[in-house]
Amino acid sequence: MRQPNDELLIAYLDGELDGLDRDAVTAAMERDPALRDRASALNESAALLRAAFGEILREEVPQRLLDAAHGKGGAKVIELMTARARQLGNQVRPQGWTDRRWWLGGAVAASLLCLLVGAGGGYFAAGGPNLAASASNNAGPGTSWLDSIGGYHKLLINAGANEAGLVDVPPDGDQGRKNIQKLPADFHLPNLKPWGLEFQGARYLIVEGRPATQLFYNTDDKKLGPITIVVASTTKPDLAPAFDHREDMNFIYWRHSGHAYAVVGTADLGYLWNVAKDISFQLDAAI
Amino acid sequence: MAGGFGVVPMSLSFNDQLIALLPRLRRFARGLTGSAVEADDLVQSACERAISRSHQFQEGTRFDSWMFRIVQTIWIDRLRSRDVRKEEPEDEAAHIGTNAPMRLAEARLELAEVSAALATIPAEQRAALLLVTVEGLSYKEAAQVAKVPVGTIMSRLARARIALEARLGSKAELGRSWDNAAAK
Repeated sequence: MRQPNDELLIAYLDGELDGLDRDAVTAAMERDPALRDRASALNESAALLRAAFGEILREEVPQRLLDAAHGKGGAKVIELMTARARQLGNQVRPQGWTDRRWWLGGAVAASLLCLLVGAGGGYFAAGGPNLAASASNNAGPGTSWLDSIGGYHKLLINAGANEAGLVDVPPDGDQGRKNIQKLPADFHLPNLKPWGLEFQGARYLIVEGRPATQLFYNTDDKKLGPITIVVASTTKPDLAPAFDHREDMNFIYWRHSGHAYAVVGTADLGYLWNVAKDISFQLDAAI
Repeated sequence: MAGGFGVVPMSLSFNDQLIALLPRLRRFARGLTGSAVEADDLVQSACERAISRSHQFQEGTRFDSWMFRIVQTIWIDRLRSRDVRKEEPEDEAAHIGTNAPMRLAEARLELAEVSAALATIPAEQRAALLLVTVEGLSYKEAAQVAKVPVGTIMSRLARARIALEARLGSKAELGRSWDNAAAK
């Protein structure tokens, strides 16, 4: 047998040869170090491929795909979840979330009320809607904090990132890149392009007298975006992620290592949950 | 079988089989499209089509192969009907001041690099590569999914593997150097 070509060598490596062909390639490899190196290189690139795509198996499957596999529409599921959340006092987790840490009950919701936006500041202190004040004055469970975050979200979405004076950090060009570098030293901009989300700008806020950043991402797909992300400094202990739904917005929020995080949008919870996981991955904010 | 999601037990309902297969379908679609959002759209369409044609699935055959075929068929149809906008490679410069653990950062970088390499491989070769090398199908099974002869799969796969190795070779070489250095 002549020296096996790449096609035959690859079939051999894949276990697709038998009989004489397999024995011939085995013999050729035994006598030819260059062929062994070639086989090793092909094996390694294949291993890289498998390893890289292996991570996808560990991702949370979006709710809309679970719905599709069940043969039903996503909207109905969200409605059921919302109704159930209201019935249980906003203490329910989305379907498919199996980690027991998600079940933190009312204490979680209550503790989150005073997590962010306590003192007010940034754009809002300068003349925007006084959501911050209402947040600090309203301590009822499950009300003002999330309402305020939702208010911030809606204001930015309605105004758009191009509104003069609203966005502190524009996304484009060299100037935008320089501005991004002004973000807190322990923070970097999450890249959400894999989720179809493009960074549109950021705003600085003061939250409970501590610095916070609100990030704005958008997408052409109106079913998915836009979304906003709030990252705030906090002295509160770590908190497992929780979910809420208000008006037409979904919320996922958690605390980790001195930072509080909130992801807000109208997209389905499965999508937001994946975005939240990616953010936690990129910012080392384990959830 | 790659990833621990092998042939789904036939005792499961059709919907349960589909749900069990979703992670692999997403992975396959991600490799085909290079885009997370487009991949999930593709999987969603495949689920809807599979349910509407569940009567066509033959008991005793591989459910995963049947679903991969549906995903690939829809994807090819979409490629033919429009120009699929390829997602831009991740902007490394956007990762400013990251303090993520190196292992996690490397995992993301690895997927981005491999995805970029995959995107340069022609569509049909890419599909063959994903079916055999990532999803663990035999050449014969991959040929059934793609509806082509085994020899065609063999040549498509070889071209894809050679192209992949050419693009990732330096990275693999770097990995060997690290391993060698660590062993000393």
